[in-house]
Formats: sequence, structure tokens, C-alpha cells
Amino acid sequence: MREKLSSPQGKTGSTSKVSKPIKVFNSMNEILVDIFTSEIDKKTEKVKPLKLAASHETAIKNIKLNDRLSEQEQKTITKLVRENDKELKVVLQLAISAEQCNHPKIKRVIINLCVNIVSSLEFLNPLNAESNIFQGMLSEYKDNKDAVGILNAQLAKKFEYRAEGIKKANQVNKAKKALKVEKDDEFSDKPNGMTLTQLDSMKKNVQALSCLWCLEFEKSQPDLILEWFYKILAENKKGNDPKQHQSVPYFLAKQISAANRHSLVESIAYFKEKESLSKQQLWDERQRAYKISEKNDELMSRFSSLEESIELKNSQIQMLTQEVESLKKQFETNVMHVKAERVHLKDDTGKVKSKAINLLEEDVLPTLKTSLKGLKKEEPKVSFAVDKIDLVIEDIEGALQWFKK
Amino acid sequence: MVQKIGIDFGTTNSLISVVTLKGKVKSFTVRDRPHPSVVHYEGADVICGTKAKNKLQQKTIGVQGSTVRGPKKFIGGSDFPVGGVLKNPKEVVTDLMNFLIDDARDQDDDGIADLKHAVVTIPVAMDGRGRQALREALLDAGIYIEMFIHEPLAALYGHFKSLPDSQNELLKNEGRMILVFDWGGGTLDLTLCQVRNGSIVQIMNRGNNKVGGDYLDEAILNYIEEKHAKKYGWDVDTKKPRNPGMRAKLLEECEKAKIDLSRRVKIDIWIDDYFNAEGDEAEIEHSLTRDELDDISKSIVDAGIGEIEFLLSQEQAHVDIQTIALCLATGGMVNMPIIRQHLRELFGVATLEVSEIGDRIISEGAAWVAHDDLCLTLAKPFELVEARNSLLTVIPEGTKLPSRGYTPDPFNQSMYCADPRDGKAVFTFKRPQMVGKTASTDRRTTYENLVVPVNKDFPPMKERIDVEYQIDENLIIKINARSLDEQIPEELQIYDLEFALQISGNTSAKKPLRLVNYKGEQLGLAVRSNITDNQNAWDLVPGELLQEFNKKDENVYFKKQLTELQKNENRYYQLCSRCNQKYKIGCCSN
Repeated sequence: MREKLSSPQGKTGSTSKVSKPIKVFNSMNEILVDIFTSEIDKKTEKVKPLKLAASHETAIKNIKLNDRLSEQEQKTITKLVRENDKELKVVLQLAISAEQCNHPKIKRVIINLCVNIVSSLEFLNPLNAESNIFQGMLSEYKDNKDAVGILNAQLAKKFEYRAEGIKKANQVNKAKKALKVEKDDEFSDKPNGMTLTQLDSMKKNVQALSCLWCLEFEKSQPDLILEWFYKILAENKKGNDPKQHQSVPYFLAKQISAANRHSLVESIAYFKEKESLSKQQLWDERQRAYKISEKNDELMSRFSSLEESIELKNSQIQMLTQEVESLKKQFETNVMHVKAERVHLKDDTGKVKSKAINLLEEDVLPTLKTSLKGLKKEEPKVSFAVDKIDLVIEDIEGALQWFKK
Repeated sequence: MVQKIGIDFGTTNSLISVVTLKGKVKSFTVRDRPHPSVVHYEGADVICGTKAKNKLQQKTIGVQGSTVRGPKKFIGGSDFPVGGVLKNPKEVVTDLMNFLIDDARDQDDDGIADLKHAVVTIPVAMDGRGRQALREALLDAGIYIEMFIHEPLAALYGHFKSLPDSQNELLKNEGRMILVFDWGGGTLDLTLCQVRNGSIVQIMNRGNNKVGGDYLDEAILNYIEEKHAKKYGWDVDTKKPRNPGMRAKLLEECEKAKIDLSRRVKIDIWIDDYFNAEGDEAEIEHSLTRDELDDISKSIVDAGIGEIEFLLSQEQAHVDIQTIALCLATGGMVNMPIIRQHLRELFGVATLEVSEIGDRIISEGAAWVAHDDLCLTLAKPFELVEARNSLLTVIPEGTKLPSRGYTPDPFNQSMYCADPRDGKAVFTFKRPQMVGKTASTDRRTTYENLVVPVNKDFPPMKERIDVEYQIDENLIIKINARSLDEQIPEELQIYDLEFALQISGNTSAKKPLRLVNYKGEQLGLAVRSNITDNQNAWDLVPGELLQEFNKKDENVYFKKQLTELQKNENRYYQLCSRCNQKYKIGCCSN
């Protein structure tokens, strides 16, 4: 039997691989245990780094449709991963290799397993409340279609917070060293004892895994996912050095003999298609923009001509309003003038009438009455009557003069 | 646009006029005559105007039974009995105004007049209470007073506006003196005016309410009755009573005869059944000659003409009659030949202008003032006499006076008493006698004195007296004063101000100034002002008081230097150093 560092069935005690016979895996559990179990190099007596071998990839490809991990198996795998793949490099490779699975369902199972492993990280899921941390992170943003953006932003925050913790712990450790204080467990970075570089590597792997999860479970548009991949890959890269473009052909040449060159070809084809599609879209957009601009110009010219005509109409309206106002005023003034004219005519008539009535009622009639009364007396007041009648005649003559005027 | 109206609220007659868009005046008359200012009460019914006048037995102003003639005379006074019911004069005026407005509304079926807003004329002598009561009475009748204006000013403006080229006429009269002579049934009012900078400025007023035409009619009636009594040998005991209504009839005949005698030398008066007697004794029959009328009216006419001479005399306006450019005569009395003759002799034919629209010229003038939207300004500066007779202008001449919608804010003055020993600060308010003659040597007329109690134990110039001045819309200056320690408020109202009718548009008040060396009253005992607005004017404190002040220990650091005058003043109160006697002329020289 092989000497294992850890047993797939959760066995305790250290085991190490002694020989490399052709590996035959009977179940998914066996594959995964093998992947995440570390070996000791006989020559150097050091632990070999984990590696996803070709045999593993073949085995993953051939995992049977109904092959599943029990809960205990999952826990064991998770434990192995936490012990041996601190940066989750191999976990990401496992997720990538799932693409080869004959059964798409198995692909999802493997990716979910990877996500479960990530969910076991205490600083990402401190209360272990979520079995799928990505699902949990998206629960508050159900309506947001940019799931990959949300996940990456949240993950970035959590990793940043963790990095701060490591920095502080480092500072404390430095200070203790300086004071020659023995290491105190309380302040050590116990969970992983990770360096910042390891944490950064883990962050990239987790972010890449989140992108794959989003792609597989159709949480985001593939374009957005690709954009995030680019962001993850290009992180910490300073600007675009044109000289670096020269490395691309060498890189591509290297890939000619690579086993997964078909993926690269597929990627290049995808981007080429994308480029031509974009060019086409650009062309279409330019065409549309040109048409819109033409239409806009036409509309603008129509608009300005309409504006001019509105201005003209407005000034005409204003002129007409003023004219109406002045006519109104003129009309009112005319009416008032007519009224005034009528008032004075009536007044003049009234004066004539009053003069006549006053003359007759106050001068003529009483005087004549008194004169008549005087004449009717036993001794007629002839002289008085004559005098009064004379006065009346004078009054009438004076009034006649006035009336004639 | 409807026009604001002008209201002449006269003692005898009242009239509303309005200027139409034709630039002519329409007066709301009754049979082309103003409405008599008579109100008659019959139970709940109110009869006004001619109908009420016909109920009168006598021509005198006042209450006759249930009829009030000339309610203007009573405005501002207390309640009086009318037909056994106590009435407030304001209420009677409101009734008359309601009648005038209703009549105007009936006549104005074209709606040319704004019967809610009016310029109202008032006699020069109407006091503050009268103006306020008149304002309230008109308001009760739904009329807002835009502005009060003195009757003579309105008459003169009405006269100018009745001329074909009023602007030119005003220019022609620039700087000239004009006498407005209104001799009506009730009073004789004289106003001396001057056209200054395009404004009609009131210079001096004079009135006499004992020489009205009604007195003359009464005098003629008495004369005829006396003649009749003499003819039939009646004495006080045998005198027969008049039949009812006959006195009014004879008065009417007398008034008529007075007018007819301007064209005849003799007028026969005959009224049957005048007295309650038998035969010829019952009837009044008399031929009244012009000479007789002249004799009867002589005292009244002389008194009236004498008022002109007195107004222009040296003691008053001190104006040479020859400098009068226009004498505008209005009122019924100026139609009497003897009065016209006197006026012609005084002023000359060219200067005398007897208005043909004398019965409505005031109302028309008010309507023109309303139409032209004119304002009044103060004709003469309102001055305060300071201690030692310097004059301080409180309100300068040319100050725009309130009208509806324009009421200037009150303003305050801080004063100090130079001699508080008697506990009284005396404020004397004066105005120059003539317009434009405001030098310290020019004569002044005293409005009134205001005595404000002050703490007599205060040192001179220490207790502040806050004085507030306000000109209200009734054209009355209200002065409120209170010393800060004694705290007894005193109020004074001055209403007999003289105004200028601002025609040219731009009002410019002259700067207030202080005039020193005003001579003050030359004769007799006079109340001397003892106040100043300068707290440091120690030279105004009487010498003996300042000496006393300096002597006090508490003032050792505040001693003031005495002027020569103050030193002399102090000496008068000292006993003679030789004979140890009080001051007297020629002391110890013998």
C-alpha cells in the first residue's frame, strides 16, 4: 500500500506516497483525496507541492454521473485542502479541470465542492452560516445582474480586512521579537499563519473560482466574467508596456505543444469573434450615429426655423396684443369721452331747464300771483303790481337773452 | 377712468363736483343751484336740501324745531336736541352727505364720478376736532377723504382752472399777491395768497362771522317791520304778532329785493296778511330804496370792507393794496352794488374779479385739485422759540403734508430746560407772519405755548424732555412732550397752519435752521421759552442760576464760565455793595 500523509477516510496520522504505480480511482472521493494528499520527496525529505496530475484530470473527466461525496467525505476533503493547499491553487485547478467532465452535472458538483471549501475559510465565513458563501453574498442583491462584480467586490473587501489583520499581527510579532518575548499564541496569526503574498495568491484563486461559479451557474453575463478575469490577471500589473506585446508570439509558440492548446485556440477564437463582432457593432453604431446626426441636423434646422417662426409669431402676438390694448384703451377713452360729452349735454339741458323753471317758479309765478292778489284788493295795489310786472318782464327779457346764447 | 370728486361742504350750501374727460366740470346741482345745507327730521325720515330748507321759518344758522341749518357749524361739538331727540352733529352731517351722494349717483347715470373718494374743502378756522369729526362723518357716508383743502385755496385754483389758459395765468401771476374774498350768507372769509414757484401759497387769513348776508336780510326785515310799526303807531305792547310762515316769506322778499336793487333804485314789497291784524295794518307794504338799503347795510358793509383794510394793514400782512394783483370776490353779498362799489374803489376795475360761478367755485376748485392730483405743502416754517429767543425750525416750509395714502412718520426731538426753577419747561411755537420772510428780524405769529412739567430740583440742562411731532391727515400738528424725570405727558394740537397748493409737481422742503437774535414780543408781559435742544448751551441759562450752580459743592468740577450777559444778569439780583439795597434805577447815586 501507498504510504499516505493523510488518509482519505479521515484517518489520523501521517502517511506518505512511496511509489508511483498506475493510479486507479474508483470514486470521486478517491480522486480528491489523492489530489489533496501531500507526498514527501524521498530525496529531499520535504513535502512535495500538490499537483493536479494528468491521471487526475482523466479521472475527473470520467467521474460517473451518480458519483457523489458523503458529508463526512466532504469534510475530510476540506480538511485536507486546508492543511495542504493553503493558497487554494489546486482547488482552482480542480475547478478548471471540471470543465473536462463528461457529465455537466458532475462539473457543477465539483465547482460547488470548491466553493464549499472556500466557504470553510473562517475570515470569509466567520460564523460558518453559509455552506455556499457566494450564494450568501448574493442573497442581498437578488435583482442585481452583475453578480460577479458584487462577489469580487465583497471578496476584495474581506481579503483586504484580512490583510490588515496579518499586517497588525506581523507588527506585534516584530515588537515581541524585539522585546524577546516568547511567542504568545493569543496574538499569533493562528488560522493559517499566512503571509501577505500567500493571502494575495489565495485571493486571486478565490476570485477566479467565483468567476467560474458565476459562469457555471449563469449568475452573470460571460462578458462581465471575462472582464473580471482580466482584472484579476492584470491586478498589480503596472500599465501596458508595448514591449511586452512581443512576448505574446513566444507565449503562443510555447502553447503549440501544450496539452490544453485547444482551450487557448478557443479563447483566441472567442476574442477574435468578439473583436469582429465589436468592429461590426462599432461600424453599425457609427452608421447609426451618422444617421442620427444627420437626422439631428435636420431636426435642428427644422427646430431653429420653427423657433424663428415662433419668435416672429410671438412678436406679432405682442404687437397685436399691444394694438388690442391701445384699441381697448382708445375705445374706453372714446366711451368716456362720449359719456363726458353726454354728461355735459345733459348738464347744459338741465341748466336751461332749471333756468326756465327757476324763472317761472321763483320770479314770474309768485310775482304775478302777488301782483294779481294786490290788484284784487278793494283798493288795488296798482303801482305795486305794475312795478312787479315790470320786474318780471325784465327778468323774462334777461332770461330770453340767456336762452338765445 | 372715473374721477375723484370735490366736495364743498358749506355752512349755507353744499355741492359735489367732478372734472370729466372733456376737461370740464360737472356739478351735481339741484335746479342749477347748490344744495342747501339743511337737514330735516320727520320721525324716521330724513329730508335734506331744498325740501328741508322749505320747512324753515328763519334764515339763521342752527336748529329750528326738527330742522338743522348749517350743520357744519356744529361739527366736532357735543350732541344737541333736534325735534326733541338728541343728535350728534356728525350724524346730521352724515345724513346730509348721504343725500348729496345719492343725488349725485342719481344724476351720474353714466358713472363718470368716483363718489367714494373726495377732496373736501374746509374753512380756515375749522379746528382739529371739527376736521376729525367731518372725516368720520364722511366715512360713515362711504366717502374716503383724499385730502382736506382750505376753501379759499380751492376757490382760487378753481378760478385759475376756469380760465382758458390756466397755466399761463398762473405764470403771469407769479410772485403776485391775490386776495380771495368770500362774502356769503354766513361769513366773510379773507385769504391773502401769493403765487410762488408755481404754487398757490396762503399767507394770511381773516374771518368775520357777524357780517354774513343772512344778517343783512334779517336787518332789512327788521327795518321794514319797524317802519310798519311806526306807520301804525305800534309800540312794544301794541305790536301785532305775525301770521305763521309770514316771516320766512318776508325774508325771502328781502333777499330778493336786496338782489333786485342792484338794477333798480326802488323795490316795492307787499305781503298780505302778514300780521294778525285788521285791514291795512295786517299787510306789509314798503318801497325799499337803494339808499335805504345802503343805510341798513352800512354797518355790515363797513365792517366787511374794514376787514380787508385790517388784513392788509401794517399790523397784519403789511401789504400795500396797490400790490394786490387780483381780488377774487365770491359769495352772494358781492352782487350788492354798494359792496361792488367799495371793492372797485379799493382795488380798481382791472383787479376786481367777481366770480360768475361764485356758488360753485369752491366745489369746482376741489374737483380740479382731485383731478390734477395735487398736494399740499406747509407754507411757512413751523418754528420753536429757544431760550434767549433764538428760533429753531422744527418743520421747514415746503414740507409735503399728508394726504390719503401718504402719512409721514412722527419725529422726535430731545430738549433741555435752561431754567427749571419753576418746574416748567415752556415751548413756544411760532410762524413767520409773511411767506418767504423768515429772517430773525421778521415778524412772527405765535401758534401756542406748551408747558411741560419738569423737576425743579434738577440742575439746568440736565433733565431731558422728549418731544414728538406728527402731522396727521387732518393737517393738524400734534405735539407730545414728556420730561424724563417728572413723566407728566403734555399734548398740544395746532391746526391753524397755512398751506401751499403745490401745482408744479416738485416739492422741496427748505433745510431746517436756527435763527439767533430774534427780538420776540416787544411789549407787555410775555411767556419766555426756557428750552433748547443743545445740552451744552450753558450760555442760555440765566446768570443768577448758573452762579448758584457753580457755587454748589457737588458741581465743583463742573463749573461753567459765565458770559458777560450772564454776569450782568447775576448782578441784578445782588444787593448794592454800597447801600446794601436791592436793585433800583439810580441806586445810591443821590
